[in-house]
Amino acid sequence: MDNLLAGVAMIATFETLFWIALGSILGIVLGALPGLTATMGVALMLPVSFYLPTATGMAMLLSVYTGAVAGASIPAILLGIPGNPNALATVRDGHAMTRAGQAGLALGSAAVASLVGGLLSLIVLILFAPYLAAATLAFGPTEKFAIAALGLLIIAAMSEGNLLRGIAMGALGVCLSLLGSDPFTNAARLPFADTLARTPFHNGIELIPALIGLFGISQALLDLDRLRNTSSAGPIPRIGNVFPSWSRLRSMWRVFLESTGIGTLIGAIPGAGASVAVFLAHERARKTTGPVDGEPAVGEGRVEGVIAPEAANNAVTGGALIPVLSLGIPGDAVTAVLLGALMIQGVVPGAALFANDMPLVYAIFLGMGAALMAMFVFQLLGVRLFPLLLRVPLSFLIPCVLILSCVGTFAVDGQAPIKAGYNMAVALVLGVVGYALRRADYPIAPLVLGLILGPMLEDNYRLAVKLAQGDHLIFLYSPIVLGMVGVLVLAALASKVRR
Amino acid sequence: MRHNLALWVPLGLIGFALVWLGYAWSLPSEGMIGDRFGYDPGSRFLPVAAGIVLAAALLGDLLRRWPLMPVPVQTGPVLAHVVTLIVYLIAFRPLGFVLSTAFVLFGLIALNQRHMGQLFRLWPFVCAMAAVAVGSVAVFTAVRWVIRTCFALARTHDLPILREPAVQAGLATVAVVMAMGMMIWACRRWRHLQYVAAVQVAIGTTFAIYLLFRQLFLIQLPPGILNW
Repeated sequence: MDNLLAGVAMIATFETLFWIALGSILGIVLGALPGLTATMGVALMLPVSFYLPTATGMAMLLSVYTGAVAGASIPAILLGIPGNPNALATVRDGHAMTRAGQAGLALGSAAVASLVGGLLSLIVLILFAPYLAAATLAFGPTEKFAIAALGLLIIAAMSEGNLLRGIAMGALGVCLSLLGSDPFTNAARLPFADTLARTPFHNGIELIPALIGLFGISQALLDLDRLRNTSSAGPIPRIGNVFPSWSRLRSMWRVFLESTGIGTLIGAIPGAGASVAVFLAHERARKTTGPVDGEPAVGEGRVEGVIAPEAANNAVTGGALIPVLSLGIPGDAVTAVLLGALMIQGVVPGAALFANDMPLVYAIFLGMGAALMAMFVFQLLGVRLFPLLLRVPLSFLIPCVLILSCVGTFAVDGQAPIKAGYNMAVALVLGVVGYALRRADYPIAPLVLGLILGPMLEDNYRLAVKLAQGDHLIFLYSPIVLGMVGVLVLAALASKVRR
Repeated sequence: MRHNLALWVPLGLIGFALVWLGYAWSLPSEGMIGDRFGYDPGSRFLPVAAGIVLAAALLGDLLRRWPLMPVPVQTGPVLAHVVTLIVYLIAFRPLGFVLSTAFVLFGLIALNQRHMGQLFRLWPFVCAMAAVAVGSVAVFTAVRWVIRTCFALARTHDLPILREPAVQAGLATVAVVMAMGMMIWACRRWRHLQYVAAVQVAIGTTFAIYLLFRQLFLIQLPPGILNW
């Protein structure tokens, strides 16, 4: 109880609530602007979180995350263009409702579904994460290495592109993470070591510049291709009634529960991602929703077709935090950035976090709850402003994102000018690399995960082999590792058979 | 300018993988301190292993996809942006945050507008650049005046609240909003609306970032030539 009260005290401050509100608005705006992603928004706000208390910073990043996921439904409903992959399945019914003069109802239903999906998945997170974290107490270096390696492999396999490209990107991330110095001996591990060991390069590639470069700068450069293709926005749609009736909401309880379940489960599986969840939830709603006289079917402009994917994509946010907080393994790019934010603040996720810093864990849970509430409030308040927001030209947005990326990177080490300049250069170089990779259809998520998990892989591999007196096959003797591999193989086989 | 990234990126990655492997192989393998029996695989093990996985996966992918389908990419605007950002990084310290950011923002917006097919005219562009310079200096002076006045009032009237960064940032925000309002009023008759909007966005964004990082989080953004 004391821990819970301490957690409440961390969140219930004016400063935290201010940053949650700001993060939520920013997230909704970023999500609503087609092409700008939740990952980019969270990466851009990383430097800001660096200067806030840990709980406040995490709550702010979570509000950007949940806001961006929910905000993606706005252009999907109003323009028929998904703001990002989270809203791919919302387009059909949402835009059909707009064309039928029900844009307000579609936006309001999306906000309600996002809130319900997010809150239910948060309850699942609160219930399951501590037990999963407690189970990791049985893990030694062997199991920790296996978790990191398998997590990287799953994400490589499930990223867009193909398995080989995913593995290559994961390996590239690991290579880049190993630059700098040896973690056990501190010996320089970089080319031209005599010269570069006296420069900031000695610390290797830091996480914030890498994340900002790979997600912020590369996304802005990618968006340049859309400059010529962006057609002028059409007429502003009429926003009428916003809320679905209470009886209608009650009749959709099954859609809410099933979509939330799908979203939470898919979110908890590394690599699966919201785009899978939204289609599964939409398909499930289509199958379970019976015809009603005078109403179109799901897929042709029915409110259930908006509720299902929107509940599912916000449920993914809670599910995705389960492996992050309990195992320290991010399930996708945006949770990789959130994990990076925790690590930068010196917080190590896993059993130790739940055993030693429960107030912070409660603060993160409460912060997410507050972020969801803020997202709901601002999404409803802004319903009549969204059509105007979608008219902000990309020609103005792209330079602002680029400059914010550069200055945000500088701000992380603003008191050390040479290091800050080095970080800006790293962000720019990785931004260009990320752009080229994405244009050539290489997935970025495994690269970022490799960058984050590389040190964990090295530390645990070397420790495991040393403890096994030089036996590199130690990983085959661990029943936990064999169990994890067995489950993965079974899952892969089941997926093949089902297909 | 068009480049076939589907070809150049895999080749570049394979080149990187080979260089990495050669470099990782040349690393001295040092064991953990106290590892008398040599059980630690050493500092070279994982770099070499990751390099082998990288090279093998890239090669396998290249062979699977060969011959590569060309994906020509229009790289002109991207290159222009990257070069502008490099100039920004170079000018950031000597010119200072305010001027370099405002100029680069305006330059990038103008570049995008031109890329979108909007007419580019030299003289309005030069005038707008001058407006960016004058506007940035004016707003910066106003912000500095507000901050100094806050400190002076806190000292003379014993108002410690005026020393708080959040309060100063709030008052400075009011000053920026008023200055921007005056600028909009001053530019109301200018015919080249695309440049007017670009100037206002450039200055407004610059000072939004300045207030957040410099005033609220007290980060030493380089003052450059605006050192008053």
